[in-house]
Amino acid sequence: MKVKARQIARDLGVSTATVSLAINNKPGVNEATKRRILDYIRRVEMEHEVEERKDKFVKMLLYVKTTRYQELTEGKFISDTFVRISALLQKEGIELRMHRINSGDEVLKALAESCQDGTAGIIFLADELPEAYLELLDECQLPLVVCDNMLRDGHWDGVNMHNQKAIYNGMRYLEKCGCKDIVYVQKSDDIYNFRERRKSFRRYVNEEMGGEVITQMINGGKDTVSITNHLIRSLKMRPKLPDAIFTENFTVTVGVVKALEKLEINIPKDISVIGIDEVPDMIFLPVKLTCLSAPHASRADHVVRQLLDKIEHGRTNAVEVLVGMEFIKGESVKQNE
Amino acid sequence: MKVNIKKISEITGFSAATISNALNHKKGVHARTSAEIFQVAKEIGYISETRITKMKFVFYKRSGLIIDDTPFFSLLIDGVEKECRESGLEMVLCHLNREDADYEQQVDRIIHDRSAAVILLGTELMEEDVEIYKSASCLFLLLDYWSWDMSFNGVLINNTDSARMAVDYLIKKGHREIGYLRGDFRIKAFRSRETGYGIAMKKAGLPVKDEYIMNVSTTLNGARRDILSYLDSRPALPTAFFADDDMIALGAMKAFQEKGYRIPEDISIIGFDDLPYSEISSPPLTTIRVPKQEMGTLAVRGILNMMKENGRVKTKTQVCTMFVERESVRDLRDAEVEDEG
Repeated sequence: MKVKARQIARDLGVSTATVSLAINNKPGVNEATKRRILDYIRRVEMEHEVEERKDKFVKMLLYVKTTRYQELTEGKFISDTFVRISALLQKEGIELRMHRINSGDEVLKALAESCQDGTAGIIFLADELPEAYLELLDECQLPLVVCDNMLRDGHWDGVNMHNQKAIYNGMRYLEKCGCKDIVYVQKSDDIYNFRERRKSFRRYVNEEMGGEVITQMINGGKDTVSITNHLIRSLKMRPKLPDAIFTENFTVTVGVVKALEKLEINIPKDISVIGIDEVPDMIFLPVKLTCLSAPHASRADHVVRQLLDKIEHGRTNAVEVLVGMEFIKGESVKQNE
Repeated sequence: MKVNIKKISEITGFSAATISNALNHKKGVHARTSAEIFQVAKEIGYISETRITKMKFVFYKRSGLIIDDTPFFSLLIDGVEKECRESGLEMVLCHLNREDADYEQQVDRIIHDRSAAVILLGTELMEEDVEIYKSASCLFLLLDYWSWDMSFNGVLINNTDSARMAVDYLIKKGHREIGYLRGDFRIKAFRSRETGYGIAMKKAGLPVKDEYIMNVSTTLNGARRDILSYLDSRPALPTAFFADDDMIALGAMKAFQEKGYRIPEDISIIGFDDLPYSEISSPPLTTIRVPKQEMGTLAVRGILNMMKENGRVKTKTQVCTMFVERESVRDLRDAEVEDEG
């Protein structure tokens, strides 16, 4: 839409003649005034453009019960994912609206509203969603990508980390390095990714190691400090040190490393450590960690790709993406001579 | 047709109280309800201009050197989202990268959309970057940045006083030779902290010595490396350092320890930010805690105030910090007593 010269003149308190000179790049207007007029036109045109464009928008529903999201460490991974999703969608001219929900009623309400208010699609971050609520998502008539949770008969798209493969890779590697007595240290949070990791650990021990190994699962608590304290107590109660510790995520890794430091136990000479997640460059570890790096950023890419595929190209069948974790060999696992 | 709240009530079915609350952005009105009320109010001519129903929270990235490593963004989002929900505003996440080819176009789209207010997280903004935002035609607030020419509303940390407080603590503990670990990417916050360091020293009659100021990288390992190579030249060292932030302080602590210095016996260090790992470092780091969630909340309230005031007065809200005393500072007064005894 064109801006009228008369309106410009009125709003800026100049004459229409001045406006005309400025627009047509003729002499007789001083630079400052000309600049003011051209800036004004650009601004008003932009406002009209924005108003007429009516951006498509997507909703990101975040089911949060715990304070995990407010914890600085895990919060960082979560917000890295947000930032990446919003950046990718913005490139496509799609707006990302964010809602936090924390009950079954709110899930239903959010879905019902989204069906009426012009939402183009939904990204559901469901790590903390109780299993019983998963079927509520059946109510959703819009393109839906569910992240960090899975229902076997769900008709929506899913993007998940390949937890089982990560645990299997890690355990296989420990076994190859001669570890038999392996302790799994977990957080106290009951969330999907952690449940999957624990299940996979148990399954690996039962199916692949034939029960001839000693394993133990220690619930470390909800933060680094309590994980450190729990582990110190547990290790002191054991007749001998385990061969290796498998950590559930990087908060656990940090707690475990701290505990071993306090007990003056050397990694990897006295004990091997392997974990899920790289430890961010915010903390010094005594050795480079051998880990399975969780794909926080590439997960965001898959979420956006799946959603756009449904919104823009109308794909109707459900696709389930499992994003693998990368094995990063450090120096925290003792090598067989 | 008489156009009033009663009329809107008849059309929408919401009570007059709810409508009034929605139109005035009071708490307790659901975002969707609010949007519907605004739409009807506009259609029947009760309000004329486009009303704000969305809050855009914009993540600004210049180099990523500071912002990529900070774990604070999730806390800010948390504060902003909560306050938006209570005020019936939709929260929208946006992203701006100075390096993008169409950066200016993206900025224009954000700052000229008058259906939304904008909170820009400006941690990495430099003075030359802010000009474009001055032409914003939407309600606009800067978070974690301030421009001296008062062209913006802002919510930020009281950096100068906080740094002064930290250095003053060192002085009270008997330190006279106090150095400064100076981040080499000079964001506004760091410059204000440097001022605070200078004021505390001056007030105590202590000289700021150039040889006690080390320029270091702002990453953990970068700071460690820089200090290690600095120590190779066997410089004279102060008894204490104030660091621009925890990342630098933790990197420094590591470097000093690797070279055989004990913390705090030989060198005391104070950080800024209270990162999650500062509590469990060895020794635990004395630092300054910034209430990030509350900053997010205050930013939204700032925007709500601007709506009410029609932007007549600009405000700068400075959030006070909390001093967190841990174990990285030595009390030199004890030492003097010991030495004398």
